[in-house]
Amino acid sequence: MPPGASVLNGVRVERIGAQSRVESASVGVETGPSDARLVERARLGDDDAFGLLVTRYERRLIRVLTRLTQDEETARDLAQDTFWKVYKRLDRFDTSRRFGPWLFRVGLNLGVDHMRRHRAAAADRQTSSHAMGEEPAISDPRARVDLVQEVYHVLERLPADFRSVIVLRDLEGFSSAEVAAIVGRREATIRWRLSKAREMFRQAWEKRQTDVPTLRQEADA
Amino acid sequence: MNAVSCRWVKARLPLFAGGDLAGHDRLLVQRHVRTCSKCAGHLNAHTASMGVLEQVAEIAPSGSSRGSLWDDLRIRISEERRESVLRLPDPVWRAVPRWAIAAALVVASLGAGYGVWRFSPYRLNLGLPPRIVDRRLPQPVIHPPITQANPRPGETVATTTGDDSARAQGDIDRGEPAQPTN
Repeated sequence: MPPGASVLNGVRVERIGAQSRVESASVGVETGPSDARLVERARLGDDDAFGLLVTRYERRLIRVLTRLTQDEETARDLAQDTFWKVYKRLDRFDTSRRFGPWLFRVGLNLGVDHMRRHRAAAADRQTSSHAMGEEPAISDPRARVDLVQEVYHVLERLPADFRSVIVLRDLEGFSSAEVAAIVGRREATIRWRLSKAREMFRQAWEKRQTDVPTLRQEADA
Repeated sequence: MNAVSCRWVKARLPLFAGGDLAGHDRLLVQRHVRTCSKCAGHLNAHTASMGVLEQVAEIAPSGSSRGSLWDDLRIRISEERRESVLRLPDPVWRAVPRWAIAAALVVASLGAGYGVWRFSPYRLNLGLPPRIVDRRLPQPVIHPPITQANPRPGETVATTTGDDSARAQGDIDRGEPAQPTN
């Protein structure tokens, strides 16, 4: 395991610098042949061209899906489904548009569908973990990982549309315009949704911070 | 234009705290929170929650522990390709555009409807297109009684008057040359 990496809910996490996050933020960073050219080649049956597209975007896609689903295995499955779906629909792709937002839109839709299906189960899991007093103390050496866990617990309670905007904009560093392209809405709509999502997160976070010590005291008693 | 309400500012604080507010709105919010302690408090709360998100953003879930997705995808693609080769060709009707199938169905149903309408017994009794009625149900031909006023076609009725012109006409009708008169 590389330095700075740790395990959260069975998901290996590693510390990345703000700089690297900004560098990898853009959806359409391309080195080598352009996405449109690779799509054209893949349409003609060049599997290696599609392989290049996969390796170009897979890490980022898996990361976004892991943040949404909080399960790396599920995220990998969803990412594979995303690429498969995209491969089957390559003929329909308009090469005058950008490939990245299209790919992430397909992935995000799959992720949001998955979240909606498993929302109830996740809520039950959270409640039981609270009741058992499994929340680790923030002063623990694993404080950073615990913080991530806390934040994901709060994010899980947000509606899927708002949660995905926070994940894309605040956790993955996509610009508002890129989020708009991925979600398929106007930028003004995304900014409104982002504002609402941040407000909801703040309220839920503050509530969580006041509730958790109470629950812990009850568990101790 | 410095007078903005706390409500207006509060609605923009989440974007302001995340650095997503630009231009004149940003300036207005900045000026307002300097003078309004209540809004400044809200801004602090938003800044704190954004700080939490920033910390989490720096810790990325790593998917590098496993191989690339391409290995599995390549197998899946080649299997799909092999199956598509082995698969029987699509039936001909699948190659026909759907609009053509729909148009053909419409034409066929119209034709069937017309056929039902045309040969319907109700129509034969009620509607009277003469051609069809004559062909289907031939009516008995009733000839009028033969009288002098109503001669049979092709016949002439003998007249009792000695009208030469009429006789001559009758001769003509019979195809015999008229008798010369003195």
